[in-house]
Amino acid sequence: MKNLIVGLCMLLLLMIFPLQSILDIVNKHKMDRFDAIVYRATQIARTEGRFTEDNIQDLKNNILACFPDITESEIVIDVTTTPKYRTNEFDEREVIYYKIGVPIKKIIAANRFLGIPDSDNSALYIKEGYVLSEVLP
Amino acid sequence: MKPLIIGLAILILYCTFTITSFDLNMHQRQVIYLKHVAEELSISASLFFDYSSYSEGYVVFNEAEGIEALEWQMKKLLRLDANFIPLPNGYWTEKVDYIVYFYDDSLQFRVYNNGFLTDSGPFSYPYLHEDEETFYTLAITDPTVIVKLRASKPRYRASFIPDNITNVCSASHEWKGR
Repeated sequence: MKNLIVGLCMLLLLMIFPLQSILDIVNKHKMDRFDAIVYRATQIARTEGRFTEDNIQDLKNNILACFPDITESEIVIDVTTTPKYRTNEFDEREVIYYKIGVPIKKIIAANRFLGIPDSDNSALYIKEGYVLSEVLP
Repeated sequence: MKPLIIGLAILILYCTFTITSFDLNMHQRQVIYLKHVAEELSISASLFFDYSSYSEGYVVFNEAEGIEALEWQMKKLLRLDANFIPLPNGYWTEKVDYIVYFYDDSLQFRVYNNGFLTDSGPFSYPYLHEDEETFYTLAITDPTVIVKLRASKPRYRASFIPDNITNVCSASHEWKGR
């Protein structure tokens, strides 16, 4: 009986880990998809010289399709929307900046069991960088 | 007592597994990102031409400007300092090296290793670019820039993971239909 009780307690504790592995796989898939979505958007921006409204809306739609648990207002998008041009010499002022972020809402699987509040169990996954414009002036 | 001890041992094993699994996922994502960065750098290095040759219908790369753009963007994207050593908020822990190959209508290939010219020579289209390190093979038929990045020591917290891992990624960008 004692062994049964101890065994059940240990089983309860050990069940956290398979759940965490599953959550890690799901989050990894989401982040990999997000990386691919952002990369595609930055390549389009490079060929257009800026992030156009269509590109930004397409980016948001793709992110929302991949992250069904978030709303459009939670997506962080800080990108260059003014036209940038390809120059004969490298000029830092003519690069296209992007900072695109999305909240990952569940990082630890059994957070409440471990005493972690829901507000601490999320993080913002951000892709930030620069691409050079290919648009001729 | 026995289930408790065995359970604690399994708990420690599971913790190690979970942490290593997370580190592996992060490493995989950073290697894919390194490939994206290599692609982006090859594009950036190929954007600058020698316009006197271009006016005659030849695409000859302006390597000085291309390398300047490449180095600036590489430092920003991989979070490196002026000496290409990762900053504390970067993923890699040792200096990131790059090699860039320029093949253009001058019919002279040039190879720059961290900004220094290390090889050059004649070539003609079509030319087979082969990399013995990565087995990256490309048939050069048009002006092309190839960038190879070498990043070392990913972040693994488990001590049993060897720390001499080096990831190498290559990417190319070519100008077609001039």
